[in-house]
Amino acid sequence: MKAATLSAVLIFFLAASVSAQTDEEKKFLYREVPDVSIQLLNRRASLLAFCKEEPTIISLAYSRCAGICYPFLLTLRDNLAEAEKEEKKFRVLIISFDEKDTQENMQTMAGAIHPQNTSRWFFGTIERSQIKTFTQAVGFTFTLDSLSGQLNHPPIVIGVNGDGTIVRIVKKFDISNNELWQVYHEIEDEFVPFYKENIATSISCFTYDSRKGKFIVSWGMLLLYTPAILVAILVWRIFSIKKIAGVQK
Amino acid sequence: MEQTFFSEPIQNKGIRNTTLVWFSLSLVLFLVPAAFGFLMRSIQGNLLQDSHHLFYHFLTSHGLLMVGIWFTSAMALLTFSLSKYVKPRVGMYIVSLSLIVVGALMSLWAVFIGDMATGWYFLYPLPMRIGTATGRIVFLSSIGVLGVGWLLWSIDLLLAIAKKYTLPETLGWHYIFGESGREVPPIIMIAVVSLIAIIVCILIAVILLLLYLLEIASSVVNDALLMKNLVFVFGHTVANMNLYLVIAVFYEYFPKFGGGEFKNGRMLAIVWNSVLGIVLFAYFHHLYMDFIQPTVVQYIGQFASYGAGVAAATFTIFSVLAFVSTHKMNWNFSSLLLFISVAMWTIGGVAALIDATIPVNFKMHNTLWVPAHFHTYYFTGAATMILSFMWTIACEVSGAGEQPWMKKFLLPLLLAGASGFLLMFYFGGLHSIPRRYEVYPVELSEGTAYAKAAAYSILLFFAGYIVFMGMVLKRFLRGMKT
Amino acid sequence: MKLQTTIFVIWIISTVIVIAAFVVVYLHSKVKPSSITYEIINSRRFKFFYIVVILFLALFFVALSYTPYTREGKADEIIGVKARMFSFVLTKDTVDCGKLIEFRVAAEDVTHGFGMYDSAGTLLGQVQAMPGYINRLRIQFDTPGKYNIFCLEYCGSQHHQMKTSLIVK
Repeated sequence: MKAATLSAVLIFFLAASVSAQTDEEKKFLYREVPDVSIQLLNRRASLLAFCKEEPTIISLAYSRCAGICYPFLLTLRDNLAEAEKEEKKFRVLIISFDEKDTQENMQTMAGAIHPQNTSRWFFGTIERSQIKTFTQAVGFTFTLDSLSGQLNHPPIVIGVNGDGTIVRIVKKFDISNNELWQVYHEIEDEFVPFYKENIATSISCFTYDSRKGKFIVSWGMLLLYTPAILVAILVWRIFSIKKIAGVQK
Repeated sequence: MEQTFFSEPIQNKGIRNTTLVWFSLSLVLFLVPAAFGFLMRSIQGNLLQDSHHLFYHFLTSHGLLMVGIWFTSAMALLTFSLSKYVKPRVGMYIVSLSLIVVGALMSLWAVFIGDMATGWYFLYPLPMRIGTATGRIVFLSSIGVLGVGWLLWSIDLLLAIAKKYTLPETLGWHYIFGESGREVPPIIMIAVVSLIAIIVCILIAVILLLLYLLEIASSVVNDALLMKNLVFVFGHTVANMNLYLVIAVFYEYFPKFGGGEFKNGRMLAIVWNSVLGIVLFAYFHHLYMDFIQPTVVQYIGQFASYGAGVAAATFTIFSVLAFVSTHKMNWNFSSLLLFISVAMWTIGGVAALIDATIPVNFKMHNTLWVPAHFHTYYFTGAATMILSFMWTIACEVSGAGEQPWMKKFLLPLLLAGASGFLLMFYFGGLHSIPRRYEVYPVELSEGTAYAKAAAYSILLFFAGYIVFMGMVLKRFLRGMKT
Repeated sequence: MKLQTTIFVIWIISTVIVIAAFVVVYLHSKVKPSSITYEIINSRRFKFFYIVVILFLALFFVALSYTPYTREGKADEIIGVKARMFSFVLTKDTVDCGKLIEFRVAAEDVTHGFGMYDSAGTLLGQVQAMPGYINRLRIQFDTPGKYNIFCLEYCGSQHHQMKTSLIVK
């Protein structure tokens, strides 16, 4: 009984500590993107107005990054090219969160990434005083490494639909293709009912095909029906035993 | 005794004594989960302050033990009754019962010592998150041991039937296709249908347990939707079959109170064969509020639930009413209690069908409306039917009849206690009070008053039950000696 | 009348009918057998069967048009909900009256329930919060006020304390 009490107490404290985090985590989805002003390569714009023109995928990067930025953006570029083959229409906006980045830096970055469909890719900077407003609104944090002068940060993909509402934020080092496909669907207001990566080893009735945006019947379904088949065989076997003499018709 | 219903089964000493031992044990064991139920309502009603931290432990154990005890009693009653026609093996009967007792004790240990307060349905992934590591293994194993006990028993009963009848005969196919064949009593047909369904859901439980073990032993993560489907095919169907096992016996013995019998026939065979077809689909109604489940599956769930209702209403209930109104019934304590339990089954069934309607479920699911309806057809329906048969058997084995005051006072006392207790659940459902709440939040404080009233009603029921139990046990003891 | 009351009244009426039927039949069984035999009543079973089937089929199809499952079309506003032991995190806790709100409910740890109660304590609707999946629940609030959200699936020792609220302006 002691164990029960102890764990009840433990769980209570655990719960208390969890709910304390609530405010910090609160919360970035289903809100309008902040109306900060951005400087694109050829024009100045309001981010909100820009996003309301078309569904947009926003990623944050900075030009002198020696870490994740370039490899990540290249992967995003290739993945996007694939999505475009399937007629997904959206814009990609890469904005810098580094105060030091200039128009020229972003121009160079655009050249390095070299997207196929240049008309749908936009590079730019945020108004210096509004960088914090933006990063806070999407829950993006970074730290300055004083030795190297580099900014430590996770890669981030922010999906914004045509209403300028943030519908998905994926923030981790190993963003998979499936997750990106889910973002593509979400920004076109196609509901994605699944938020976890398909774990290869798990057995389920349906798997979510992130690319097609559909559930497909999976072999886990068999688990629900094999018992009935097994029992049919078993019962047939049981009833084929020899009848007691004299009771057979 | 003016009637002897069970004279053949009573002749079979092995079956008789094993049944009587289990029945005696179950009557006493019943008090444990019943007391848990009383404690839960007392905690919710603020009558009890000290055991609050054990509320969910009581909840878990209450569900597991109640279904465990009544399902096993239904199996025992069926085995006893079937021994009129076929010969189940006493050895297997004893082995199964022993396994079930071990399983029940293991589950008690897992819940209270291993801290596995997961609810009877141990909804994935909750069991992976709470309780001790040993508790988790013991809990899952206890379900496994219960399952093995029931599985061996079901197979043995089918084997016993198979020694006398062919499969098409037991399923009444010669009635359906209008061929000549020998008469198969409804008890055989209903028993076979129920046992087949029981074996299917035990195998499903095996899969469920294996998936749990896989996750415990490796890094595999299970799919919550699949696990929920699996646990409810098993849980829903076992509870459902519990009722059908009793109904099988009911078809055999109830008409004898009016000097008649329910004969097997074409329609009855069609109905029970279709039951076999739809019974595994009704459980979908437990997942109506998982909008992610394909919508067509939800509709099938509602259709199958309604189908089960149509079958029950137009066959069993119609037959009982038609039979009673045209026969001069011998209204003793047993037959009255049986008749009342059919009424309670109907009343609970109506409430269940209402809840099996998707738009209603949207506003009633997981409120007290759910325990309201299932306690009505399970506790005052199926379990009460078993109790009334126990009484008949007790009288017959001991040769001692019933006292007139039982019908006049004991029956109304039991009925008043049970109805008061049930009605409080229905009121709770009316007021959207959630089920499985240790304490009701201030916004839903009506729940507290209902819980308090329910606790007092349970005491009323207990008073009657203790008297009843004493009388049955005394007769069983006398019966075992002869 | 709220649905819960309607349901309760329907159930009470059915219960009275059931009890009345059983009592009448019970009283009938005490008198001498009349000319109506079991066989005669049995022959009327089909009529009863058809009536019950038609009733159930009608109910079935009526019910289908009122299911809470989200159909096509866009909601006016989306609110993300994350349920976890033992709290709810909502992306927004104030909404406008009259707008169609879509709650996208997910669970972080174990299965929870998301039950929306009005200020009078009536359950307006619910959906399960299952780990790995997102369930969509659409509700249109017609009255301003404070709405409470309670967990409606047992999720552990503090299940009954898991709640939050939503303000409708």
